[in-house]
Amino acid sequence: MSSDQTAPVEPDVAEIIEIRDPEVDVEAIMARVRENVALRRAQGAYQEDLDAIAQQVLTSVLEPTPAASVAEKARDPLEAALAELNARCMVREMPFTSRAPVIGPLIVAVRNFWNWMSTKWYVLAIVQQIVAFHLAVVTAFSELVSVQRALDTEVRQLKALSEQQQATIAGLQEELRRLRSSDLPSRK
Amino acid sequence: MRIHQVGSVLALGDAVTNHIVEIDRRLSRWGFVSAIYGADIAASPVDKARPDREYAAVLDNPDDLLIYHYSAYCDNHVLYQRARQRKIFIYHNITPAEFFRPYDPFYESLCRRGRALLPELAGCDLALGVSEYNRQELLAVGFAAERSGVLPLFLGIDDFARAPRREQLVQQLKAGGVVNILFVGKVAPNKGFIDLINLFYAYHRHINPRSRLILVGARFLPRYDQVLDALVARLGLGDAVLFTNRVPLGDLKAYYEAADLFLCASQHEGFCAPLLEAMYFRIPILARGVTGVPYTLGRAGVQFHQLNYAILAELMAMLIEDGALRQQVIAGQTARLAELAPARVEEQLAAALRAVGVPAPAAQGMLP
Repeated sequence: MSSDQTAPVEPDVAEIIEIRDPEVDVEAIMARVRENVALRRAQGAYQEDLDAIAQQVLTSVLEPTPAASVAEKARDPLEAALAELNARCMVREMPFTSRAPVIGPLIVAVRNFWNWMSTKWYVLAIVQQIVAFHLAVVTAFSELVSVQRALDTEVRQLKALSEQQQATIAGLQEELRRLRSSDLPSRK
Repeated sequence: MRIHQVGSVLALGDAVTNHIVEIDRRLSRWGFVSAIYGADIAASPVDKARPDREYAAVLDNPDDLLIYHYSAYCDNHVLYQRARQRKIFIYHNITPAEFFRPYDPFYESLCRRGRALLPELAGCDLALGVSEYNRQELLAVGFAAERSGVLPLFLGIDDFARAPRREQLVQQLKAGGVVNILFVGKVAPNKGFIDLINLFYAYHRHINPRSRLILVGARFLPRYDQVLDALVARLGLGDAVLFTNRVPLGDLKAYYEAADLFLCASQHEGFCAPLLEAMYFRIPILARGVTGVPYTLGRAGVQFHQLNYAILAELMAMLIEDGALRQQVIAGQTARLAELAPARVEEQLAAALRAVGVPAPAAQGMLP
């Protein structure tokens, strides 16, 4: 039938929807869904390709325009470096442990005592200074990346505006040419 | 006896933090000395939370118990690995890194590290997934099946009951008979927000223009936000889609109270606590049946397995408008909620403690 050839092939509702509750009449629901979809399709509904629209949006937002690609290429390593800095910025003291049977706790106690005696107050203060420095670096780097992002966006917007204005100017020039040429006979 | 819970970031409204707090309440009530530690406690809703480095001082006490919550890569895994006491590992799942790749290298890196580390954390007395899905993931990376189990998340019903009622917000949302479709969850790519917006568009455009999509959850990925905002604009849904960002508990309660349908298009969930909340607020659920979602729903709610916008939009309409179907679905959800009620989870927690030799009270002793 010709109408069958033009109608969209509707997938099996049972493969799309799952209702496990035995109290619900699943077949009746599936039948009503099928019926309603067919009815609304006949009225022209559900024609748009939403996946394609979403893909276009994703591409336009995430994939750089050729003009922006240089900036994007420069930015990706920045973001990767920022991720690395974030993941590694905290330097923390970790406790000394021993897996040695029986004498393990003794080793730990002696070692902890030695660490406390020899290094704790000296090293801990240095570690705290290092962490403070790391955090300052991460903060500064984050701000730089934010500024970079904002500048990229601004450049992209300005470029889009510029292209739009160029198109408008070209259209106006064309219109002007057309008007001038149409005026010519009357001038004669 | 002392029981220490160690997590990563402790934050208000976070499902993992809520779980830690709920466990802490039970442990304290049962007479244990219960402590909570986190790597980042700056925004912690718990006054007693301590920096995780303080746990280092007690990790050698053989009589204590450590409950380690793993939901993101965190360097305090070293403390868990070094602890010389009984250990329960609770796995809340980690989002596959691929979801974050187009949007944020930091979160991608964090997730990749978190998953890569998982097999190295298998050395525990008991490994618990917050869902069977999570438990299966643990077994797949080498955790011992005979020392594993499931401890579902606690639903903080009391917190909702205590939260102030925002009647004005509820009335505002319901004004003019507008249908409210709700999703709750942080605005992250694994939560399927693009599909949510497309599904809503199909319903809003072809069935009911007097409808609104309410998306409650923290926005923290600028590039992903940019995509979602552009999609909403492209589909002309600017006035119909509401991103609330993070909200206070009273507002969250109002959004649930005003909702006609809970729509979840998540592609990856370890448990999905908002499903329980939707059950509690008697809202029919339509959810993508993947990862942890089918385990949380059980036989309740309606699941979908393919993204057919026409079919799902019609189903949304039926779940919203067909009173009899709606009541049947809600009844199924209420039954499921009873299976996951805090009292049941409490019994499972006590059983888990007993399994590692901690003298937790028997079932009858726990009931109020």
